[in-house]
Amino acid sequence: MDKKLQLLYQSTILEHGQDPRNFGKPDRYDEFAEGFNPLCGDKVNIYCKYNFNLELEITFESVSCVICTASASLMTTELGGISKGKAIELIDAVLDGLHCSTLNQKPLSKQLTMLDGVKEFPSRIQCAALPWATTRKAMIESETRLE
Amino acid sequence: MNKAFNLENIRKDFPILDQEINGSPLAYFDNAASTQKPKAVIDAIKNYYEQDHSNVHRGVHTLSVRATELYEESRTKIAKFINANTSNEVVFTRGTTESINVLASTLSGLIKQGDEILISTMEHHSNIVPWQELCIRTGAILKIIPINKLGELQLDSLEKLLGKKTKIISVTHISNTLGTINPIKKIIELAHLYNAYVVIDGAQAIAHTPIDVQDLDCDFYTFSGHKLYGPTGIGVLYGKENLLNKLPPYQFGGEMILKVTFENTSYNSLPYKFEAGTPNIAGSIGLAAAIDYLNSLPLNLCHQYEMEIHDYALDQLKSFSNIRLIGESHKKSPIISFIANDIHPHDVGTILNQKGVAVRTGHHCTMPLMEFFNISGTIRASFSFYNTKNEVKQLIGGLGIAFKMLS
Repeated sequence: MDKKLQLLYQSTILEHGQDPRNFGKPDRYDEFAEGFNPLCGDKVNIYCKYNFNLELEITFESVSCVICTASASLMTTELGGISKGKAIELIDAVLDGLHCSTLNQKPLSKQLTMLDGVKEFPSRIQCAALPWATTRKAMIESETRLE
Repeated sequence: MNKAFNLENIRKDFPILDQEINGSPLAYFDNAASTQKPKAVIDAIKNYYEQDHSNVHRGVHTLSVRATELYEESRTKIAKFINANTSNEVVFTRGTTESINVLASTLSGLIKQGDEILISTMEHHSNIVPWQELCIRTGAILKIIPINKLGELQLDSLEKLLGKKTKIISVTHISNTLGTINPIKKIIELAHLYNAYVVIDGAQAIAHTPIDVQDLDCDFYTFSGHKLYGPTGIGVLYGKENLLNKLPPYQFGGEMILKVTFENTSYNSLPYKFEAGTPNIAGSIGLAAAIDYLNSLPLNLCHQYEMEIHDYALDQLKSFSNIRLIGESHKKSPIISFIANDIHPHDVGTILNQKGVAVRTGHHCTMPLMEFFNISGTIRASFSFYNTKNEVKQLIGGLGIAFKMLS
């Protein structure tokens, strides 16, 4: 089997892609955004809510490819339980990494470096980036609304 | 004497085909998006720039005269290729999208509030959005001719939609997603009973079926050079001379004028009225070279062979039980769209590419059609006369690997 393909579709990605964590629409949420990839028609809905300690809980719904679904699933596990500020910092690090090739150098968890394989496939970077960019949009747009 | 179809020789005419992608021979099945270019086209563009280039029209020096002659010869060849009555009916554009935009913009003067524009469910975005915009500007209403589950246009519904308010019908000749060949002659006949103008999106059809605009009696026919083995950035808007004369110019500037003063400007005659600015001269020459190349082939046998490859691929695909075909019209061109249960087209496309197979995945710029079939996208293999059965086997092998990996 092709090494690059193996890296892209490694078992963690396939597993999260086929059995995503935190999938579904919650009864209550504080922030929401819809993400759309016009290149392929994939859709991601992101729901953020915060507990009394202002810790984040993210769920999502999507009609998307394995890469996008796995990326969303990994993101929800990664961002769960941290503050909004830290979440935005991490999102920016991932988006920067996906777009520039420094994903490994950022202080990201082992889980997220799984997304590294995507960089070998420029046409798929947007698939991995969509959930992260959509979550950022949900968080930033809610602040704009409060202003 | 009848010319013979020689696949091996044809493949030698297309230098790009002879390469490896990710360690496997390239199997190019993305012809509906863009066809590859024969050496004759590449050489024609190179020769033009090396020997004949200057700006066209009005120049008195030799190079300008040569460039003008080549540019106008190209127009004449294209007119002949689609059997236009005169080369004045061939307007050069950037492609099908621009051709349709020219029409949606210039026809709006003939449209008033409450008039109706008909398009179909299977249209490409470029044959939807310009008409939506026209409707916003004029208050006209966009109506949709439905299709059935096989992906065929419902002619009986069209007859019900047609009425005194129908002013324009704009439909595709061949669907880029489904491969459906629409009965455009019949559509044109019906539309003309109501004095409606008919615009045909011929982007797919031009490479797969002979076009005779006079026989079709169509008012406007549009296509792109790059889907006809020609270069990108050149396309054609065919229009009946009397209709093009009725329409106002689309863009304004050099080339499209007769006389300019600060008080007043008069416009040039056809086709220059629609060609403001320096045109894509090299593109037109490349497109004419593509037509010359196609005319040197037994084109009817090429079209037959493309369908043989299509039928072979369809038969091979049947070995997969998880595949659902999208588009099963009784009259089809060599395009196969399909989905595989729960497997996303993009993932399949990436794995196929690693095996050297180029297909297109996604919505193919037909989102409303995807909505009709309740899917987000398809895997599309579109064939040309340079494809081989071995390449189809490569596709099937790649699909087997993809399905195994992703299931």
